[in-house]
Amino acid sequence: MRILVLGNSHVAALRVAWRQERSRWPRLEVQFAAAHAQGQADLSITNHILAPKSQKVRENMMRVNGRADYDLRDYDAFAISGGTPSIFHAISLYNQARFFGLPSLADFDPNKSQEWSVLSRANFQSALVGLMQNGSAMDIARTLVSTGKPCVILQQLRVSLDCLSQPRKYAGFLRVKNTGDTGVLSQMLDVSSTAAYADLGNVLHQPHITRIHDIFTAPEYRRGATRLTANDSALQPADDFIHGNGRYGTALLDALYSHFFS
Amino acid sequence: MNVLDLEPPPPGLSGENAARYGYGLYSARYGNIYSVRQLKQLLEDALSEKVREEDFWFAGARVHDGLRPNVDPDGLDSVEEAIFLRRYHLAQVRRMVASSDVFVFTAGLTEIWINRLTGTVYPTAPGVIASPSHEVEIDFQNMRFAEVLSDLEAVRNLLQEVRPGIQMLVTVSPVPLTATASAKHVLLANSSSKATLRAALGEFAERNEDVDYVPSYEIITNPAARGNLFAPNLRSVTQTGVEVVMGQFLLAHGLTQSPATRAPLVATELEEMADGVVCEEALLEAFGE
Repeated sequence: MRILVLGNSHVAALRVAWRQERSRWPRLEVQFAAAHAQGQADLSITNHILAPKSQKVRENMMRVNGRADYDLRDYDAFAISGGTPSIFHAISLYNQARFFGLPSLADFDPNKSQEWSVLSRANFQSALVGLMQNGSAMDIARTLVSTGKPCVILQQLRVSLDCLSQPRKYAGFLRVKNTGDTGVLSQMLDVSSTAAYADLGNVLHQPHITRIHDIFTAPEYRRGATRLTANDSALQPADDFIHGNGRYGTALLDALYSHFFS
Repeated sequence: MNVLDLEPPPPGLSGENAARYGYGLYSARYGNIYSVRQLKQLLEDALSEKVREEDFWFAGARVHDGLRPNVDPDGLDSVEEAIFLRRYHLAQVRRMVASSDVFVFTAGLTEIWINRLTGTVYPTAPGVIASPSHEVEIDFQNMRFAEVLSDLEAVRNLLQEVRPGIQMLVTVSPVPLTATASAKHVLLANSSSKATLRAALGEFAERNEDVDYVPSYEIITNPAARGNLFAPNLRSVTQTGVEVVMGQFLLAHGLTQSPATRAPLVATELEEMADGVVCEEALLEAFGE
């Protein structure tokens, strides 16, 4: 099976894993079409060729992938890793709203004022789906779905547990951890991720083996993460907690493999 | 003027979904309050923090708040969730009244759906969106002048209890009935209902110095307007109609029109009501077909 993986800087983890262990997935042949930031939203299909519309994205893709044009007839399926549903969507909404079912609301007193509003679970999910559908992956997913070939959306990995070394910057995550809402919020993230792309493709949730405390990624799947470059060898800064490493990429490709072949 | 919104929508909710979930229509998410009886009940419940389990109705496995069935359109997971959310909502209603200088109410209907045993009033007939449990019996009732007037006085007292000195602006909705549960033709039901409301609100405003009547009904329906302030469906009020009413209101009260004036939202609200997006009355008509 020939898979084209698209996305942004999060593609680096997959590409590192593929370069290092491709024999682990004998029935897969994987190629990559990554672009920094929102570049994947610039891609369009003309006569089966997927290519960027702007020169700027083209140059970026040439630097990062060695190519910018992809004949989609060469692939059996697509996977998107970048701009996809993320724990950041859930946390940003959690900062402004809570929903029935969260453990922290067990002793809720509506007469005490709070900084957030209270919603039904369905309402919160609807709002979270709305946030997720504003991501850049939605545009490229709609483009790829028009080929009739399967498209898999890879949920963005949760922030590394190491982020708590910067409690001010990651105060929202610390708040969730302290309230005991991590499990229910993580479930809401997964359910909403699937719902957000229900009409476009399957969403693969972050592999459970890579998670810790529900809303974090275990540090061993982040440490040593590299930047998206031609050879993906430059390390991410020490205070980057959002990108996965090659080990994480392996877990993702394992999940992708299971999705297609089990 | 500052229009309060104690239950704003969460980020991420699209405009369409926000309207579906009852956001951006009123100062809290109580849904449509058609009758003065319904308003009085809301304030009584808010002040007493009363939640009645029989007010939660069912559509299959989903639970709906029978007192505001359109607010969570896909229903809730459980009665427990429904009770929890209702308590939260009632707390916002208390906060809303406590923060208000002026309370604005548009009376729409005299027809109500009432729990035979408890006297609880619902905005929609059973079965239209959801149905009560079989132990609850709901009757139709058409409120009379004396009842409406009595309820208005009770509303005023309840508001004053929370916010002494609060003023009231009352008006009759110019949107005509699209359906009636009475045995009358809808034309007769409409004129009877509007006349009852107009007389009661007029008397209420005459009796109380802190109550003012806003003649939106007269402005929209007066013959000189030749029906031009109604949309082609002869039910929704046009944007022009809203602006005329708001303009007259602001002029009468020595206020200036500003970009923050809520007129466009009111127009949207009225159009949406006529389009059946949020109007239980329109659903009743469809259900009846």
